[in-house]
Amino acid sequence: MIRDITIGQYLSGTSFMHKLDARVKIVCTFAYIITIFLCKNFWSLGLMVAFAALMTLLSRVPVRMLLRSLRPVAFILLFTAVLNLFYTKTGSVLFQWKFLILTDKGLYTAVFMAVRILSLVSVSALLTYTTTPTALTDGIEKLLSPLKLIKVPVHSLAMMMTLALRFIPTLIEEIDRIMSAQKARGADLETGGFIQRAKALLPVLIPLFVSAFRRAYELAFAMECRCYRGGEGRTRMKQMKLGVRDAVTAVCFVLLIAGVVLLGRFFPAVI
Amino acid sequence: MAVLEVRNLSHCYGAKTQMQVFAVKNVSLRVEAGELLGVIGHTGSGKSTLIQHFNGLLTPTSGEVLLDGENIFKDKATTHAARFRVGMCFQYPEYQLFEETVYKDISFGPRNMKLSDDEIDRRVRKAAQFVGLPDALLEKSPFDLSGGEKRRAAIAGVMAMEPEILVLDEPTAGLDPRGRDTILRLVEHYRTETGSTVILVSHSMEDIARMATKALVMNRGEAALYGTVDEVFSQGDKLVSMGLDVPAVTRIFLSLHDRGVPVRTDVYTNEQAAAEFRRLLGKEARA
Amino acid sequence: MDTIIQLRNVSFAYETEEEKNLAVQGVDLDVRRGEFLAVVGHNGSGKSTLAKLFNAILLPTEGHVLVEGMDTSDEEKVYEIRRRVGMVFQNPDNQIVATIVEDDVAFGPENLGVPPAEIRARVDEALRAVGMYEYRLYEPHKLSGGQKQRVAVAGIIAMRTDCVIFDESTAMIDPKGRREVLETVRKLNRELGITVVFITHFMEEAALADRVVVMDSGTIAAEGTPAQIFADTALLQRTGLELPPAAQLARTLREHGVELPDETLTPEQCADALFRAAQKAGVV
Repeated sequence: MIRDITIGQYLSGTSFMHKLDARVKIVCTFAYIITIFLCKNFWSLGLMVAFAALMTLLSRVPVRMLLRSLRPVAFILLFTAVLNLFYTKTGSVLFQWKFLILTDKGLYTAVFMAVRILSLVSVSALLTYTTTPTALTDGIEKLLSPLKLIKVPVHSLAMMMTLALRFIPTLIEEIDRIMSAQKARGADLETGGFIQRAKALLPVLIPLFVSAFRRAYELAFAMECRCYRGGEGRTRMKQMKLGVRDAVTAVCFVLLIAGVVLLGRFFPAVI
Repeated sequence: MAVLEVRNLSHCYGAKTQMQVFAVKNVSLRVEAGELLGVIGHTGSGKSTLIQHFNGLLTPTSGEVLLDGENIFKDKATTHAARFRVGMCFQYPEYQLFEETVYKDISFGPRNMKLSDDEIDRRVRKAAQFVGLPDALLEKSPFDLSGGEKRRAAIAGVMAMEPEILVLDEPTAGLDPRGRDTILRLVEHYRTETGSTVILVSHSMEDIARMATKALVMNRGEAALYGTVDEVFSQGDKLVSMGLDVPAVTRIFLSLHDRGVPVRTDVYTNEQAAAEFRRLLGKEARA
Repeated sequence: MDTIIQLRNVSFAYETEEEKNLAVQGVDLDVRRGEFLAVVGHNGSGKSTLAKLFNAILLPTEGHVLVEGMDTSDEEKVYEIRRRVGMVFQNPDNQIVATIVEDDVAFGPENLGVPPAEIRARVDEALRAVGMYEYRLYEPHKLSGGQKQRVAVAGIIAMRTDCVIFDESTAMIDPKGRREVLETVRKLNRELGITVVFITHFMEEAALADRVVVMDSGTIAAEGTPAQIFADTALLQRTGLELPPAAQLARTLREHGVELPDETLTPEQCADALFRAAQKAGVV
């Protein structure tokens, strides 16, 4: 049912990953994504995959849920793999049929790209599965706070993100309702060419915009009534505190990156 | 023959997954032409899901919906035609207004029916008349109308399709007593004038008690009670146990009964209550 | 009795391109500390505009609104006024800010700069007061209308406001939700001594108030206890209002010659009155 949409895909829990500070999780996720593109041989790639598996284990997120998050990227995955498989012309030829040439390097590149995308998506999914949208935006706000020095409105951006996350389910419900109402008046939203369809969407889009503006207006009043004046002088109920758990995680990540770099030195690159 | 017949209708969200939920479970009903069926139930009771099957907006997981004896899910064309035969006006319908003028907005339905311009014009004017919108307002932007006028313009948009059955989901939600009376009166007038069948979904038992000929009570996706208004409202204790808001009159008489006053509890209008209370006093006075 | 909000000859006009539309004109009203005041009137009677004048969302075009002595037109005082007088709006969806219930309740105190540990305590206390503590980790869009409104109420009382204005806060929710909200409001009024201004067009809700103000075309048409207001049939007729259902039943009974004492506005009062009438007639 439309009521059951969970934005940010957060799964409540009390695992090691859930208890980590959001800032640590965000930084580590980025570090992981960058590091995986530094992997040039199977040893370092193996290390990264093992690490992702460990993280999954520590998050207690069911593998089934993780696989579900991979479904939308399945096509991209296949596409890049096939492209890499046949586009790479260097290396020794393993197989040739008419214009299709398969080289060992091509095969490796395809496997690497596939594994990289899979890990990247899984790790990002773990971040959203184990972090509430609020903690995520708070974490981003804290991490970006140095940018305030160069006049970037960090607080406003974070607030916008929070409100967007808050209103996505409300607006989805609204679209659903308006579409049903117009269909009941015989609106045909499914057939016809591009122009026709775009035109047919007007009866949905106009009421949606009218309603979104009304909501924004009312929300602004409601926020003012609750003494909102921007980030100045604002405190937070949930304080972010770094603990032993966060320190251990950070050290592990430093070791992981060092490991990947070292493995890259000792073993020859295969791509 | 019943104009609308529902046979063992079930609707299940998330079918074939582990999270399947029955929003509507095995509901059957027959609505005769010209009736006013009141549908009661609290939010999440399945009443909104149920009514969206009547015009084919939702497809049942199992069961049938028959209009004049014909299953509307027989083929695509029949399903599509059902949208015009059963007019559906959703909750807060004013939020679906979108055209430049009220006239154009009311004509949206008829235009989708591919009617001639003359016929469209006739229908728009007639519908506007039913809801009491003067001609002067028809050329205004719907966004410039008052709240009550917007609501009536939106209802006119559905009436203009001249459906055999008019379904209204909470048409009085959010209105003040005056606005509510206006809407209910125009619905009643529309029904007697056109002889159409009306299905009225409402939280207000008082409104249903006053207007409906038959009542359906939905609870947890099932048709918990279905019958004439008398049959349904005489089971006040059952309605209370389902967490529904029974008419204040019924609540008062249930409370008297609980305190040992020998009154009937199947009263739901002021007149019935007065007659019953007088019977109580009068009878005892003679004895 | 101590007054918390004073309206002195207050007028407000909405200005459009073509016309000036007086929504409120020359209103004098005192809101007394600790009372449960209902403001009723049909749509367009000015009751919602009046509500928005109480905490400086709208500023009077004429006259003064004083909240604990502070003029709402004084820009410096707006913040102080709003931390004393909170507001719960009509549409429950458009006033919840955060994606988790408890974070939303914390929003007000956070804006006030309350220390984190105290915010936690206030949030838990406020959620318990409205009976939503078990839902503190829920996402707001998974709650019912009545529950959302209770969360909004918690968000206001966590700011430790003295007075809460309810601007038709029960108009968009179902009867069950309406009962929940109303019970919560009455409890806050009785137990925490919070002043309540309840704007509504449901007469059965107004019947529960200490005092009722009837608005009609921008002015106060009448003011008094629910019993006084609902005894005035001509007034109700003129202002487009109706009797609460229980009172309607009592009226019908009286027309049929059944003698009932005056207080028959709520179903409870009406049942009591009928019970006594039955006792008097010796049928119980």
